[in-house]
Amino acid sequence: MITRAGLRFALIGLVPLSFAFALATGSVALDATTLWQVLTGAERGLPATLVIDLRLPRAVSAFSVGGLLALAGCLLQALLRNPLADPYILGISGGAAVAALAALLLGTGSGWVSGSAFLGSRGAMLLVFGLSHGRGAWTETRLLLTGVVVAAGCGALVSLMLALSPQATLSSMLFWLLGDLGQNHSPGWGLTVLIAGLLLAVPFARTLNLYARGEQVAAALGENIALLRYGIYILASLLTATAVTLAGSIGFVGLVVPHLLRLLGSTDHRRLLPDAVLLGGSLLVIADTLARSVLAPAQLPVGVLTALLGVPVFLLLLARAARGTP
Amino acid sequence: MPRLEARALTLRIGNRLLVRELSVVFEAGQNWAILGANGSGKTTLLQTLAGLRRADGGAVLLDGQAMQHTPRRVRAQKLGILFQDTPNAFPASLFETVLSGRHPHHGFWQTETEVDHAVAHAALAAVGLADCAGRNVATLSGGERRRVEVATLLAQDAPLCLLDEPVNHLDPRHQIELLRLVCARTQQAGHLNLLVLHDVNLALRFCSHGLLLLADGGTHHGQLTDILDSSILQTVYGCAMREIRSDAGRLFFPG
Repeated sequence: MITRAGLRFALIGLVPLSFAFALATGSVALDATTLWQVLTGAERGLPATLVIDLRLPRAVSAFSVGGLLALAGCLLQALLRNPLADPYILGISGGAAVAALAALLLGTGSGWVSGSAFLGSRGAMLLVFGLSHGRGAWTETRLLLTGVVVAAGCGALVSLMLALSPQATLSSMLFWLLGDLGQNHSPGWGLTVLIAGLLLAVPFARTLNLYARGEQVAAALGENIALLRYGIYILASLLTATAVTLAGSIGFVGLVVPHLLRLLGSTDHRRLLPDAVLLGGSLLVIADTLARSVLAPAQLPVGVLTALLGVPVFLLLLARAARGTP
Repeated sequence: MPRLEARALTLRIGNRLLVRELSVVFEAGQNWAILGANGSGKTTLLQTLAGLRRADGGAVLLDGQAMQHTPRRVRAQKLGILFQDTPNAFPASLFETVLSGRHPHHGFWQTETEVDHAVAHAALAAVGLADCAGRNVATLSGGERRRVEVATLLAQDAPLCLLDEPVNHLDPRHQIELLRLVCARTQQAGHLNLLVLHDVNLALRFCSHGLLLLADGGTHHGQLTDILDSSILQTVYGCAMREIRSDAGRLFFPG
């Protein structure tokens, strides 16, 4: 088993490596020397345009989306105390998908698609929260069931729109649903939300440790659980909404990155939250680079790649954990 | 001043009356056994006394101050509770789990110090799990997990401890060791324990006072040796109880 310091060191090392991979790979492959010259400003030709204008923004938004999803995954798993929770479980991506596909169906521009995805995710968030709160007692089971049912409803609407849509828009709809980082106009926004979210969540990480052991435990140790539960829910929802708006619903990162890190020994949320951002971000940068380069010029949906990369690693770690290694 | 007090405390769940106008004073130095049949409201009473649940009537006072006016963190520094069952959805080491009991002693921006680590290690040692500090809680047996939860409560170091069936899942040796450990705390100034127990004989052996919950919402409380006899236990549990006098003192058995 690797040590905690070793894990953090490896994760911090993974970030520049994943970026170097993303910046060097593409229709024009760049070697390390050229890449270095571009980054230091010594090279200003076509390679510079490729790296600075095309590949870097895309890598930054991939990192932001991966980090947002992994962070939201950690928060929601703690909130619902359910290892199966992921950022999409409470219908946030479902709401975004319905609104985004409706915009695509109406033939609006890509700016409209992102805008409606954001509004759709907010709508779903308010709907789920309002319904699960109701008049009775709040329980995580009730929130979970409300979220799952709203997500299922959204799924039905999405299927309906796919069935009704003309051939021409069908492929862009499917691409949106599977996650697409190619449409990004403002990578800085995602990164800002990611950093703000992490800075907001980390001071509460010690409390999250208690919350993950049970609401009652947190209450007994002096925490205001009602406030905490709203805070976690709203923060996780905003992070997810931002990720979905930037890149559609990219599966797998938010579910598996937190578990992967727990299996590697990062069980304290004070370590888990930053670790998840680093690993989730790097994983998505690598997956997105592979998605646009493996079968180039064809682009694969990045969600397919995150699953193909993550599933074997996760299963391997799970099998090792079952033998009692950690 | 009493450390903990119930004034005309009434508890209901739905339409069912569990406790009717209970007035009782819990003083420092006392070990209280709370006895009652299944569903008689022992857990509900304990959680209300711990300030985690609103009373349906009356009030709970902690050091003379109404519980709902006591700041949460102050309350957690003074009063700790052991739940009947604490789920572990995610992996965590024994040490991390026990260290979480130190939470109320730190402000928002503070983190654990060497002192907290020492307290957590001492608590694990006290329940006989010092050698497994790095193990994942999920790999423990039911009884070992129970001892980890007690160690977490000990690490919290609150003078008032409310324990809901602390000897659940424990073998006889660990039942005795754990109750001895917990009840000895009341020799320190200002300490007080309330224990929900199902074993009348353990209660008689370790507790000074008793609170009996009856099916109709009524209660009996006082010195345990004064209030316990086979007829009152028959009312509490709804089955015949036999008293045997032995060299170990009075013993009660269903029969």
